Amino acid sequence: MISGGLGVACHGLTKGIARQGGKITFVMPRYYEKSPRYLKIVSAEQIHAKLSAGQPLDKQEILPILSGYLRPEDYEKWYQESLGSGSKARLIYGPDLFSEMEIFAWLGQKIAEKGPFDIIHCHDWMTYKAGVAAKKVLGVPLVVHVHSIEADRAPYPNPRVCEVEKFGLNSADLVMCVSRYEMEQVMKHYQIPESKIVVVHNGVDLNGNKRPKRKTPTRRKYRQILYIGRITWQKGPEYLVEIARKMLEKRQDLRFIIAGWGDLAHPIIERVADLGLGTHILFGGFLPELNVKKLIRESDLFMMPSVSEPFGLVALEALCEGVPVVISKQSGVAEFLENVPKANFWDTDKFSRYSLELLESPALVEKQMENLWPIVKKLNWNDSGRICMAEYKRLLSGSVH
Amino acid sequence: MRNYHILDIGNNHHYFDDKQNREIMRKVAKKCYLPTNRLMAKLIRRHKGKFRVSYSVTGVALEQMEKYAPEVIDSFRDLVSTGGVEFLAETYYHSLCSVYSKAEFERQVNFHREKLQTLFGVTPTTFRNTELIYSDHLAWLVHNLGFKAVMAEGIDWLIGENGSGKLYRARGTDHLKVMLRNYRLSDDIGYRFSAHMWSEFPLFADKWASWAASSPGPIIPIFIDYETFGEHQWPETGIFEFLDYLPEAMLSHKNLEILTPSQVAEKYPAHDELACPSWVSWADTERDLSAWLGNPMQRNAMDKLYALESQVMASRDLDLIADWRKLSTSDHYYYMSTKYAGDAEVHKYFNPHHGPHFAYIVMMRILNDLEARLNHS
Repeated sequence: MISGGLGVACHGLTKGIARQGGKITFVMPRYYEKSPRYLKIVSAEQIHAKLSAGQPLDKQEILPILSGYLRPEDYEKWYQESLGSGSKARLIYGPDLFSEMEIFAWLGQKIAEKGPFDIIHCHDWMTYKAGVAAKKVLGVPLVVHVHSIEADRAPYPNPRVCEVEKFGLNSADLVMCVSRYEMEQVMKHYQIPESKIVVVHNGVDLNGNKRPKRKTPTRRKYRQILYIGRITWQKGPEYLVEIARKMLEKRQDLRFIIAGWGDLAHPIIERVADLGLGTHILFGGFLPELNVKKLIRESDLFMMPSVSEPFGLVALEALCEGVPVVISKQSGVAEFLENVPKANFWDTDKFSRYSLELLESPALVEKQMENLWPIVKKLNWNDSGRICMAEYKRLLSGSVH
Repeated sequence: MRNYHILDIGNNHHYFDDKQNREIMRKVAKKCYLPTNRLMAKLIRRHKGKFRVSYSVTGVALEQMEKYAPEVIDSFRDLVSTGGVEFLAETYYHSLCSVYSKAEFERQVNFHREKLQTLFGVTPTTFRNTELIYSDHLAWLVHNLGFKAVMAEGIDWLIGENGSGKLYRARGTDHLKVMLRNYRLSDDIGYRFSAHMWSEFPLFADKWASWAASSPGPIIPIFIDYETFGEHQWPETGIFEFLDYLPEAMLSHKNLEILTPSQVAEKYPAHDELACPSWVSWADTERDLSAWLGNPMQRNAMDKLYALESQVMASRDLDLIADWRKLSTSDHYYYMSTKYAGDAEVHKYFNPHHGPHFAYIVMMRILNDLEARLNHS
């Protein structure tokens, strides 16, 4: 289920809602692992296979190729490659992401017919049509949860994706946004009235209540700065490289790690090589969660220069490990974390200055942690779940929001 | 190089894929080295010394043979015993140290000389640099080390279309002779032999021998990848039959004899002076260093490697020095090439990584770890 922020967010959110007594059937395009106890996960892929084989639907099991980050262009590339490799992709998936979305919508309807359900809650554009189809069958309220919109993800938004987003947001009875930042994005790009939107923040589940004390590795002769995220326009990797270059002018004992991969990986790698900084800026590639956790713990600073970050959960995760952060103002998490050094994503001078200050002053780091801890503790999934449940109840009682 | 992980840095100093090295050495030994060596020894004996052959084998390859396929070393010993074989000198690690470091170049050449002496009891007098990389500077380096002759690529723009038929004296040296590879006749065997689209396909030994006989002389330097026999050209192409019949076909022409480079250098005077102020090689269409240093990734990686040289040497840590030297092997940088079209096919064929960018980022992780080791030692 870990396929980036969206997977983590849905996992946390469903957990939070379940703790509030909600019973959830979670429909995913594909799922391989077992469902967690609090959640019934339904695999659209398996259902599709059953339906096409003329079998009746019984107990829903499961299956994610439809990742919230998949771009229509990348999907087509993936599909073509799958055809070439002779995989079974062509039997299950449509030739483009949009037909894939339509299949998912049709299945959404089929699953809805197996109801009853009280609320339909769907996450990001690929599931909007399925949500609307289910609403038509069931006649119950539709909640559309915005983890990101096309304008966050791409410098040149795909008009077809925008169309689907507009359709979903307009059809929804209630829109949930992961931050005020994202709410403003939704209002600006799709003219959705503020009265129809609530903010449901993302969160972290803490192990205990105690503030983590970070142990700095002793034998190390360098300081490590971490970037985690896809190497793509939205995350601002080119700004990271520029910040790194400026910081390295001031001190040489710095090691930057870029953990992740993406459509800009090759150009960013070439840029780093061109600057001759290949041993200072290292690329970790895409890493499993456990390795990411380890990298966070080994780092002295976490940096998030995102161009547009609806929330930025990974910054919270770093704080939970006692790692100080510097983040861009264009992020949702920034509005919750008052005392964190923030800069506009393009302001590489400020980013570099704040980062160097934190690296040079353990006292400053300590102060940041102390100030932030009460806030981080509050940003948990139980709280998000509580907000969701309250909103569900209001929707069901028919009161106008 | 193995897929060195980001979390290996500082924890694991094992950089090379021993398993894959072993597998490839075993495979190529079986397909090429053993059968071809056996055939060469048979041909030398059959023609009573009139057929000769010279070998250029890197120190790294010899090491791997000792470790993974010792029977290949034995077959080379048998070849040496025929008296018809010459070994050429080169850099032990198949590196570009001639371009970057005089001191390291001399060390690597001396290691290679020692290796040949230890294994086969021979001392080379002709030098061939990694991938036939050459320039006036190289000639000067090689001359300083006491060699009598050196091999280079017979590039048209350097010496004209038939220039490889002559023996040259390297500029800036008194008597270092330069032999320039006849790439047409060499590539007829090495590249085009089994190309169905080639107008001369199929190639038979007597046809090739007649081309050689009418080629302007007095010399025709032929230099090809050994893996042509059985690996690049599979046995099914008839490459072994071609080789088997080649000496007979050649020796049937009165104007042809088969000599090793040292014999050529001894027998013929230098015809002209060769000036080569910039670096050339036998690689890719450009015939320069761009196969290894053509893009920023390749330059960043190799610049960094050689920037560490003095610290690595000063550490006196033998394992660390050995690792650093293995990282100097040109292949690692070849994999980082981002060239397109025909040359990309060749780069890709040999690349064990998922593309050039991946080869680069893995190398930079390793260099990072190596640098950290330096700081600790």
